Amino acid sequence: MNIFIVVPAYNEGQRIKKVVELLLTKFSNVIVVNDGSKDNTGEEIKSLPIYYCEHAVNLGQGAGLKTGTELAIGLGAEVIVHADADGQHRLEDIEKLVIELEKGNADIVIGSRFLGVKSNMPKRKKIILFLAKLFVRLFFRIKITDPQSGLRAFRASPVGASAWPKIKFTYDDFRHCTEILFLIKKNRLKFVEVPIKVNYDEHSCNKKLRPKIKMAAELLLDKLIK
Amino acid sequence: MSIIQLIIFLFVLIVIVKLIKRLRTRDISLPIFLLWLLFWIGAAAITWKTVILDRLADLVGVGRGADLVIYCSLLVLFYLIFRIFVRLDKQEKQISEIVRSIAKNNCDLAVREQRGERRNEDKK
Ligand SMILES: Nc1nc2c(ncn2[C@@H]2O[C@H](COP(=O)(O)OP(=O)(O)OP(=O)(O)O)[C@@H](O)[C@H]2O)c(=O)[nH]1
Ligand SMILES: [Mg+2]
Repeated sequence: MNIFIVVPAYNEGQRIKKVVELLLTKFSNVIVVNDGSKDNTGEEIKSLPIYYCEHAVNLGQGAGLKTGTELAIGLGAEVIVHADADGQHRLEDIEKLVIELEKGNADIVIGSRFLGVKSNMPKRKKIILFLAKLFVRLFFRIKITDPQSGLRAFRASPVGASAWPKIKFTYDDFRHCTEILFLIKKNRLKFVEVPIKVNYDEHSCNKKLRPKIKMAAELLLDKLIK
Repeated sequence: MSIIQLIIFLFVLIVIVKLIKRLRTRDISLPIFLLWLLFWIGAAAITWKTVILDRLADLVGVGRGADLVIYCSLLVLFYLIFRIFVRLDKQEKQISEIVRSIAKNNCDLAVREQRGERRNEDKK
């Protein structure tokens, strides 16, 4: 299987190099999309044997993933994994997702932080993710334990059963997460959740909060209009 | 004549002069020119004889002429804001497409270059 790891990165200069080097120990095809970072993210990794790509301006995580995924498909990817650049996703979990996908029971495998594995997730984050779960459950009628997970793997062979055209999302920002779930449901794709453990260190707890209520409102509005 | 009336007349006069100029340079078509001309002459007329406005207000069931103006401007403003939102959204999408396609092209080029180099090295 030709596996490609797609990593969207925005201002991750401090950690990106380590993360990518670790990925390279197990996977030979890594695509990093530097999404108009204002720090040294680009310089840190340019010398590594990866596919490097950069947006001239910051577009958002969704846009980064889309660019990376399309590149991967152009390069002949059969399996595509979306993983974070901040080192929160563990290598062994990525491998677990790929193994699960290769079993052939699902079109897309999603890593879940709420399937029994304990982590040091901050309380605040837990509450927000619980609300997010409720949100997709109530308004989109999707049953999933971790709707905001950024770790996912899916099939993308240029010929045959590719999930990509069916989950190709339109949102450039973090809303693409919810949109993918929506598309999975709409196109009757089969997804499987796999328990993963995500690291929460100081860095990830100090980051700026996303405008969550605004995003939820916009998602609802768009759903009503469409 | 009150000062505010004078100011409005002056303003309308300037706008109409500009309109004529733009018609001459063919920046706007004749029908559009006539439409705007009518609009501004109407505005001047209403300023001149405020009773017209009150009659109009009476006709559509609004208390005062001044209120009618406010209501109408609000409507127009809301519509314009909506239009701006739609256009902004469209432009955001277009920028995103441009940036993404440039990124992909550059990456493809880099990949091909690298492969080419490797082949050249093999030949040596
Ligand atoms: N392309 C792109 N990637 C982004 C952007 N913002 C964040 N990312 C990347 O998306 C991934 C996840 O971002 P985080 O901010 O860590 O989001 P998270 O992991 O869901 O949330 P935390 O629990 O707070 O870490 C990382 O790899 C970031 O570099 C962005 O604007 N553009
Ligand atoms: Mg993170």
